[in-house]
Amino acid sequence: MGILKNIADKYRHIFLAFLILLCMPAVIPVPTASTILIYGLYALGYNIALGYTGMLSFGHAAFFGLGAYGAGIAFRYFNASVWSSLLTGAALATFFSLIIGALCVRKRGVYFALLIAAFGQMFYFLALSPLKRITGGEDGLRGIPVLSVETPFHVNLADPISLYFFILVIVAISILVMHRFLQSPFGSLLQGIRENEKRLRACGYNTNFIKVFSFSVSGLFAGLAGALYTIFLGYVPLNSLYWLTSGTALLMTLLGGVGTFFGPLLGAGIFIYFEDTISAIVARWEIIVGGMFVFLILVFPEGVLGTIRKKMEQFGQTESKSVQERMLNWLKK
Amino acid sequence: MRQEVEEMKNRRLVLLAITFILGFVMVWTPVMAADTIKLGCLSPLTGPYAALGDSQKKNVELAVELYNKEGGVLGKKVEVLIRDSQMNPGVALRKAQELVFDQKVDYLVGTLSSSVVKVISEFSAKNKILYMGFPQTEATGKDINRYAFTGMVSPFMCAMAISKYAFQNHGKKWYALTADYVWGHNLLKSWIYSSQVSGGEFLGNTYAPLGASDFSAFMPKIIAANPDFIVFNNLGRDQNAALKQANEMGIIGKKKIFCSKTEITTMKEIYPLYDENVFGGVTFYWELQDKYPAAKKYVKAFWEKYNEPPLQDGEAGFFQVMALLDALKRAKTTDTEAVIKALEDGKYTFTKGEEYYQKCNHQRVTSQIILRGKGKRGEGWSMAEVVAEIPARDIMRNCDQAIKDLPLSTIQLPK
Amino acid sequence: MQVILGLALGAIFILLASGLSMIYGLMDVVNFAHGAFYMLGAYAIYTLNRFLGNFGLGVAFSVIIVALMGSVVELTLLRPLYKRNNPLYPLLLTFGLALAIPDIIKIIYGLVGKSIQYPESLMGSFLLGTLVIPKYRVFVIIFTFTILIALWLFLKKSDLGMILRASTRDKEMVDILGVSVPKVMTAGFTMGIALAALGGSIAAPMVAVEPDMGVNIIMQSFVVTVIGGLGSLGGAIIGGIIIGQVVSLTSLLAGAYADVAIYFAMATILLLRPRGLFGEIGRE
Repeated sequence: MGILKNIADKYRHIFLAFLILLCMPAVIPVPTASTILIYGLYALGYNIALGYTGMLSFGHAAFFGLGAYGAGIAFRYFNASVWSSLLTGAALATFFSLIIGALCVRKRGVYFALLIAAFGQMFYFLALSPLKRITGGEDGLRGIPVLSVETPFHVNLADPISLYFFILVIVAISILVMHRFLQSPFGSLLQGIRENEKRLRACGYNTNFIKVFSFSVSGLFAGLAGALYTIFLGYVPLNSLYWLTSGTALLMTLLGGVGTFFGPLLGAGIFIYFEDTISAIVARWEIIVGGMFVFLILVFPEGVLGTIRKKMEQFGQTESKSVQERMLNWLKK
Repeated sequence: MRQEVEEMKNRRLVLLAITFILGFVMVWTPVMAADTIKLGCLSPLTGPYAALGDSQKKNVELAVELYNKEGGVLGKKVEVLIRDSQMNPGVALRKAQELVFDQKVDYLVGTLSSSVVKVISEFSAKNKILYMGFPQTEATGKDINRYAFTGMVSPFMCAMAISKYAFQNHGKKWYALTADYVWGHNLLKSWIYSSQVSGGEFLGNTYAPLGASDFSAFMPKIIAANPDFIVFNNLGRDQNAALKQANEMGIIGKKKIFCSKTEITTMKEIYPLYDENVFGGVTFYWELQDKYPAAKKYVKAFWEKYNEPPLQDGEAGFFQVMALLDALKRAKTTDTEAVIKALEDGKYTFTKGEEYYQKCNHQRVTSQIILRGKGKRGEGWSMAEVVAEIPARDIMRNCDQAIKDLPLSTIQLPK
Repeated sequence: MQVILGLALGAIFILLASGLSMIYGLMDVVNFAHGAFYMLGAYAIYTLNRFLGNFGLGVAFSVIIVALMGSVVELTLLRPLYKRNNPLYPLLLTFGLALAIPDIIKIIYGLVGKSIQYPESLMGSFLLGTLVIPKYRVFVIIFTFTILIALWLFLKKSDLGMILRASTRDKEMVDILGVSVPKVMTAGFTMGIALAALGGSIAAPMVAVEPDMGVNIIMQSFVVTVIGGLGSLGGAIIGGIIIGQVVSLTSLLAGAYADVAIYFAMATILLLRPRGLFGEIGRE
């Protein structure tokens, strides 16, 4: 019933989203727009684990950072091309998310979240001190040359607009891939795990395997975002591994709407935009962010997109469960 | 049901309001002001060093105001766009990009912390933007770029100044507590070199992780070594905590302590522990107004506007912006190359004596002040007395040395 | 000597970890704002110390005031979230608070850190041969020990303590038996916050008092709580002691690896024995 309609809706949404993203640099400062794309991809990847599979992670910065450093190291020490570095970063992140996911998947809820957080912290401190010679420690990884793309045609990445559209292409492809992935039967399996893992297991599915796979995909996109960030900055900040970066993914996803597809992207947009504009106006913007968090949780737990969808559903008087109800079984196992 | 409808209406109103605000802000933000000279300033407005960032901001705004009062520069007003660097290289870089590519600022100024400076320096070189840096930095080898100017003494100069004073007046055997990161290491290396030159005896060093709050673990080792004096290569809250705990263990009073770089804020914060047994190095101290007419003018103007004296990190900001605007005037154009030349050729008397930039690495040639705490005698902002001012020529490296990082590259850091 | 210093550090960890443990055990809430309340405790003693001049009284009042703030937070912000039956929400809310509260302090007290003197009677140190032992650290250890015993007695012997323990195990049962569960949760949360505030107040003279002091300690407190076992008081104690020693000793030896080691330990425990050393099975 609703499924066909949903798919048609989703494609409409994708086109609308792409349209908006194309116009963004005209309305918002270009570097801000690029940042939104990158963090948006990061949050979208994060949401695969959180919103769709129901796995809360407090350490996703590890994968973002691995992607960033992977690309950075490729550029700096191996003089790699843009494409190889992107690949390196994404591959590194995927590799570790696979391993960590496999290790931790048996734990639930808060324990899982804290485990991932512990790994995230380990990576951070490793990059800070023992691996300082490679990573640059708290100075970050500098010495990345001015970048440009050569194949299939030349793109000068020093120009902010070209850079933006390069990032946009990568992000757009990622969104399409993610979308197909989540709409596929496999995607439904993920949501099944979120709803009621025991039942799915009873049906004969190896839920652990599915969860690890989902987590790796999530890590892949987070890493890709990290690699893009390195290209964007021409530098790898140590911060990309810091736990606050994990929290940022969570905040953006929550802000936009955990159970929705574009929610995290929208959340990233709102958050980055506000952070950049507000901090120019108000000195104490952290209160606003913290307050926004609190406000959201109390009043709009479904986030912007989730609330809109809820309204539309209430209007259309469809019988579908509200996003809120759907998250009931989360951590109660 | 009715309640739900009510809730729904309320939520819709809120959503609408949010959209309006967003739209409003979005339209309002692109700044117009076409015909001005734009300075992009990056400072940590939030985070643990926000107080210093605030000092930078105040100083930059004062400098700009002083020029605008006289009609601006090249017939245009000077405008400052300040962004919060959060003392975070990644964030600072993003904001720098926004300032340069979007706001189209003419020049970049600012930042605190050596990490951020290095990154912004690299950015400025890549994009050929003139950058007046505020913090201490040790640019060597390929880090040196002609688009960046340094506004504070280098760590080498900083350590040389206070170590010379210490070895001359307070003994030869020394033990150090060093913050475990690049800046701390540079200070330590400089001290070791200075010790070799002055006949000092290096007894040992302990590293403390940056941001450590408990230094009591290190004190026993320091006491056991029995030095003539102790060297602190740390800053800010690390220094606060270390001094407090040194006092706790009865060290202050038995031994003298030399803080390579120190802050008046530290003295205020741990009052009255920062007493006659504690010495610190600064680039500027407001009570210099008794010695220099330029200082008097500067401190007076600052105090009138802000009701407090300028701090050294802020003073670097003041100097750098004043120098930049002065160079603009002399270059008679905003063209970057011309301004760089003008900066290199200029002589500046803004806050102390006459100063200039070393041509090869754009290092500000300035003196370092040695302060001695006043302890209980301090009141208000008068927390220390000036016991020495070490002139630049006694502590600077010549161009050849600076580029090759001699003699520091020959010094081995202890484990 | 190192051991004693490590113990003093551990004592603070213990106070924080017990509070965290209690709140989690009782309410399934991971309180990210715990560090912020620790910080509030420190600022409270700073303010009160000027007015009252008496350190002991200052600590007492600091704890009461901040604990009350904790109650208010629980009543107004956390309680509406319980009916959503998802521990994610309160957790995220505390995360937001952890961001907002330090900023409020920055507005009120300014950006520059503050400093407190040791109380007169506790200044200086003991001399044991060549060892110099600061009096205040000894005080911290003894005082925390006393508090822990008091806490243990309270939990084991008093009625309210029993109710708290029972609620940790089975809230529904307690509810059926006629006890008001919301009130219990408020009480438990308040107690946990009180412990954090206590930690902050007595740590204040030792460390730098500043708005972000909670940020670092929260992560380490989590490690302690996890290792000891979420929900277990005894575990928090053992965990605090261990981590206190680890931090104290490794900072002397191999600073770089210290932090990695701590989180490695945390990960290992979570993987192999998620309930920690003393936690209860079934919390996974």
